[in-house]
Amino acid sequence: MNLSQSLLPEFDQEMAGTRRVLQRMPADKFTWQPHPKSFSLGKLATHVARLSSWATMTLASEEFDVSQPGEVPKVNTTEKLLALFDKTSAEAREAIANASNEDWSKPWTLRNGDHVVFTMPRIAVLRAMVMNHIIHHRAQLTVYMRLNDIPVPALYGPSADEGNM
Amino acid sequence: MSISQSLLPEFDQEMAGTRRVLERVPADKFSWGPHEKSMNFSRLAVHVAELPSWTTLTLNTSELDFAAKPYAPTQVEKTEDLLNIFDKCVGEARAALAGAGDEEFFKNWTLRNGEQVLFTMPKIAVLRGFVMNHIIHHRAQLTVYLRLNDIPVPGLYGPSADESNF
Repeated sequence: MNLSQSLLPEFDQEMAGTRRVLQRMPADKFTWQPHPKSFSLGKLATHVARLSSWATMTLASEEFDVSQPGEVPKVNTTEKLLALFDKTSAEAREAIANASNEDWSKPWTLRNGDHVVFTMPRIAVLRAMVMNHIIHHRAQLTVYMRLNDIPVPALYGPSADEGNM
Repeated sequence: MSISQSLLPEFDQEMAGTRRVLERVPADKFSWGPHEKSMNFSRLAVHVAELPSWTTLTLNTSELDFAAKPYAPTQVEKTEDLLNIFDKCVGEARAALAGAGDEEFFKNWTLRNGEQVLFTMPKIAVLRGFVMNHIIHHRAQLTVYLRLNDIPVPGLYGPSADESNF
């Protein structure tokens, strides 16, 4: 089986659900946070919008050093948030579609300077650090929505607002 | 590599992270909810603790009919009850995953509500889209519940504001 072909249907489904959440992020709540220790809504939504870039980055490299962080784009409207998400997820989709089984099995390392956080096959990085990581923070956004009385889309079953069952 | 062998390391890692979250759900907050429309702490935690059993269900059956088997959440009184449910479900799920041959993962599985078919997909897609991702989704909601109650949040995919695994 071609691994890319096995990943794309799930990628498409989860990215569609992610877009439905991001569409509902109101710009006038971007600075809102549920707790002083929490990410603000705008910061968490921007993180979710950019996370699929890890798919592209993982497939184009052999390691990443978190001690050399890149610049986080400033996003101040829902439209910019969606534009960032659409561009990032389209690039990720293309990188996934073009990857061979051999590419997926190569080891990839996350390091913090000299400290190696992990080394795993790229396929495992894609699952844990890209897909599961996006789903994790997207779910946190659904609680942010609930706390701001924004209807929560159904993702794996009905929400209290919308049913797909 | 068999499909089972490719799934088990991730299953083990995510279940370990899930247990770290469930361990911190305090019994004296079981009835707390962040919003009147939200599931309360214990209902959401029981859902997370029970969801791994869908692995076993998917691998051992060809469909589930919600109309024939309406979901009734298990009642819990203590954090230990949650962990007991979770450990039992995870133990059975892991055995089912480890014991499944590649051909099992490509058989179709259907979720229905009486006559209405909600989806039919290969079991491998059910396990990813409906079981694993679903657990991660609700576990993440629990992390916000923890935060709102000033309970330290474990680092899962990177450091939390309380704990760093980097």
